[in-house]
Amino acid sequence: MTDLHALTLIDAAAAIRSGSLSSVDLVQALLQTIDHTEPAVHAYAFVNAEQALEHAAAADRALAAGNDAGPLHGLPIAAKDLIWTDEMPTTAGSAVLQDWIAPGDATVVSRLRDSGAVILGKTVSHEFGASQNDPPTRNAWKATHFPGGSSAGAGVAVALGSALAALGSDSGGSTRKPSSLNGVVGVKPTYGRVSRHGVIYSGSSMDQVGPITRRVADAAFLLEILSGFDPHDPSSIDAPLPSFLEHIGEGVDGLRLGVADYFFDEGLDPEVRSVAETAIAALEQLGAELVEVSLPALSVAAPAGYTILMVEQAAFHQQWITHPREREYEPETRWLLAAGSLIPAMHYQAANRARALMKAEMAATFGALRIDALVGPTLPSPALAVEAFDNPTHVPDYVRYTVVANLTGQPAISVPCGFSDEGLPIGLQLIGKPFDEGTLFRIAAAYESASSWFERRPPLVTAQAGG
Amino acid sequence: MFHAAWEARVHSVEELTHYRTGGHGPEPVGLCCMQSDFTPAEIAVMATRAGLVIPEEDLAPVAKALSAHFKRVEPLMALELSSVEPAVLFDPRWHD
Repeated sequence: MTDLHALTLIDAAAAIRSGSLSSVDLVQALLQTIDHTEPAVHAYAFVNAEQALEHAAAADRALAAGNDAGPLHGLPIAAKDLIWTDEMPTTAGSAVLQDWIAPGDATVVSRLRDSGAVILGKTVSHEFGASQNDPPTRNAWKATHFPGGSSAGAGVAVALGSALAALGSDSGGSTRKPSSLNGVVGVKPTYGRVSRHGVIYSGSSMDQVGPITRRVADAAFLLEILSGFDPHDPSSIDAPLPSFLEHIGEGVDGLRLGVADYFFDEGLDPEVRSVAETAIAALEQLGAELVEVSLPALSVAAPAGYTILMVEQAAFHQQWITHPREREYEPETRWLLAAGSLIPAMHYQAANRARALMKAEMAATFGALRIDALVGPTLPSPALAVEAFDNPTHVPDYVRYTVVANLTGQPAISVPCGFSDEGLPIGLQLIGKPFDEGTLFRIAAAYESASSWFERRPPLVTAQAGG
Repeated sequence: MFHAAWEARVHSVEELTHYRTGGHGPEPVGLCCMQSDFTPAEIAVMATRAGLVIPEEDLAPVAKALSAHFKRVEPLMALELSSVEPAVLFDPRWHD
């Protein structure tokens, strides 16, 4: 069987193109891994096995005939169950959309298919990307623990090798959180960089689709394909699209990294603090210059971010949460949406005023101190036991570092930077300038090259390899 | 049940505001300063006024979630932000 855990997306693309690996063999190997890992983690909402194999066979025949569909020719990729696909259900993790088939592919899925990708299946999302507790999916490293969300299945599948790469969506940290908690790479692009057409809203002014991969270069490779203006998405921005891979290997020498006190608050888990500080010191050793920064407006990031998310989610769900359909929602989601419906308009307005203030403060700070990126831990703790999430009011605190980039629209990435004593992954977050994802990839790749965290595999994977 | 009990006590939004502010004069304090412990009965009234149907068994957890929200936004609502133009997504240009 192909050693999927050593295979990157870029390596797989080269192997298929050279003829040393067929798309069918790759899809079959992934399906075997899915069979092995799914009972323990439930990362997939739907596996498109039959059609994926058909598409893979067609890709192999096309390549043999000299027809190369593009950079993702024959590569299987999974998509979060909030993202429309025309040949399998899109349920958003909810009984409300049970068995629903979208009227077409989301633009991001079309871009993948146009580049030759095979859509392997849909990964589990917390219900509509809203509720975060009681997830059906379990952490790739410890099945009793929280997988992160709402792109829970995407993070877990990539960590276990049951997906080479997956699309997630991120409204408050939903690509970076599962990436951090499962030891993989997750990206939240600049708002407007990637089309949201055909992606079920979680928070319409905060949402962005991004890749989840095992290696930094794979995320850069995939984001190049996903990015670009889409007239079907009113929030899409026609910005220049540089190659994210071209400068990825140039290191961090001369780059200035801001270390903000906000990301090292009193509530930060001591182990996470220690691991993140060690990672930041490693970046300094690699040639980056560290700059202490103060961003006082971020003190209200969590309440502002969560107010906006609750209100925008509630508004979106008015179409379905009317009597008697409200009972089709999970109770925790229903409570959250009902509470969001009762939030006063002045709270939403205050949150949007604070949001403007945070954006202005970021721009001024990056400019005045000539900072290339902020660096800090992705989350305030490693994965918690699932039971710790029985109270949805915990979630806003948990996303207080990640929601910043959703509020300001900046790009952000989470890259593995170590493990807790309990063996749970810890992520390092980088937040960049708008539309400067390339610099984030460059910093993350430099750190990744100097570390070996990506070589560790979850026990479920090593058990599979051993037997 | 909660709804009926509450309706017997409060018949208008003005009365609700009066109740929430402790009845200290006709000028209501801002929502930022209101107590943040909502009761299920209050949620029932607010839902009715907002045209929402919230199942009775949900009133207590919704009260808990909304109370948590009000507590969470206290530092946000305490900020003087009136001079800050809110971040909104609106582009008046016409696109072909």
